[in-house]
Amino acid sequence: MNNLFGYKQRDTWINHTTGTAKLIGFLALSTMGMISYDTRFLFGLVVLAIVLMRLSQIKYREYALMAKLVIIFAMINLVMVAVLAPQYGVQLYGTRHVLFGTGYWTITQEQLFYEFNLLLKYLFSLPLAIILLFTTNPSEFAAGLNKIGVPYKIAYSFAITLRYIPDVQSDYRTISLAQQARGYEISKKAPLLARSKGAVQIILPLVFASLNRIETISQAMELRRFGREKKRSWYQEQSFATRDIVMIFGAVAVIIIGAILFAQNDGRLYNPFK
Amino acid sequence: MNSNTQRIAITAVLTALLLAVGPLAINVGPIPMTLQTLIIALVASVSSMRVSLTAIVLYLVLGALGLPVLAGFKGGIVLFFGPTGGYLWSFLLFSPIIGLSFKKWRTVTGLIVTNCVATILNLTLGTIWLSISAHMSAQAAIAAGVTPFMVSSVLKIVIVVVVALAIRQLQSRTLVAF
Repeated sequence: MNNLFGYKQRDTWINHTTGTAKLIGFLALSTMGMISYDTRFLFGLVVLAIVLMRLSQIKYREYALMAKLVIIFAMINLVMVAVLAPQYGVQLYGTRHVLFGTGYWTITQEQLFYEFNLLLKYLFSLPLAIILLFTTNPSEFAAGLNKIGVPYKIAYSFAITLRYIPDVQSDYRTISLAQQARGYEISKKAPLLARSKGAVQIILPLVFASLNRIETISQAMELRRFGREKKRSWYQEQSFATRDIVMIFGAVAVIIIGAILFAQNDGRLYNPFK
Repeated sequence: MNSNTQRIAITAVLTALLLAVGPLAINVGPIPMTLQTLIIALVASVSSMRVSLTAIVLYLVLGALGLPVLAGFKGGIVLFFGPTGGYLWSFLLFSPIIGLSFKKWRTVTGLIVTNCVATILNLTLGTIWLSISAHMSAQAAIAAGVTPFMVSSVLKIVIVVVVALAIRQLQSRTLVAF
């Protein structure tokens, strides 16, 4: 099954690391990667993300659909930047080396370099997201959130959400195929109105199917005395181990390196045109 | 029956709906009609402000963390401060505005008007931020941020109203009155 999100139990050290530590690492790398435009730093993050992906043993077919879609929209986004703000690179780097074209839509080395940095951001953030989603048990993650101070009811709704996602996606696929089998057209061959009707015929039963779960699930939770006490224990709770501490220190190291490069570059740009 | 437990389950289901449907799009010409605004408006239309606001916040938080759940399977904190950030932040307004039609103005007219107001605000705030952030002229920002989405916005409002009315009928026939 080609789920966009799907935890699977694996015997790797990344799987065994607590969700809390992985979230901290994820936040650190994502934030620094988004803030920085130092190409060397971003490239290092890409390499690190790829290595972590290998170590987590996630198969390509598990995330192929998500990867393809992200890549397509990333390309569209890069083209849109080139069309809507073709001189942004020149503003950023302060110089102008023309490659071709004239007037507003001149293509410069600065613009291409800027968009290369954007591409690197995509290349590291996607693997990190996949790793977090595919190696973190929703129950254990909820326990981790509760440990760091999030009320357990909110933490638990987070866990339920993550468990619902594959169900909703599965429903979407099933309903879509069923409606297409009954003649509703949602592919490019159909005109806009026909596709809109197709969309309604998928969204409507999808929402109904999802809402039908609510009463069943909330009653089952209450029958098991959910919410009765101010605190609760967690079956899936994991205590911090050496690998968790190592991951957190690794995240801190990345932040420090990023900060040093900020100071060294006198800003967040690595400017080869200077 | 409107217990705390039920509210948690409702929030979780609606958040999962946002996460599963939000990234998707229907390709119509050069600009894909994303289902993100549609499903957010729908969630706001069929639940109380408290529940829908929680679901939308959870959705945006996960998107900000970098999970590819925003329109076009994008994610990352940078999107909230980039040129299209205004659209994302203004999704938070869908909840209080459309929520009015859930409690206080529970008519077809109320549903249509509040959805129109929320959508107009979304496009307006998104375009203003686009103009500021990308240093575009007002005309260029409108051409990029409003004009391409007018047809699809009308279409989405129609779909949301139709679906929301059907769901509300279901709600009135069962105990689930969230």
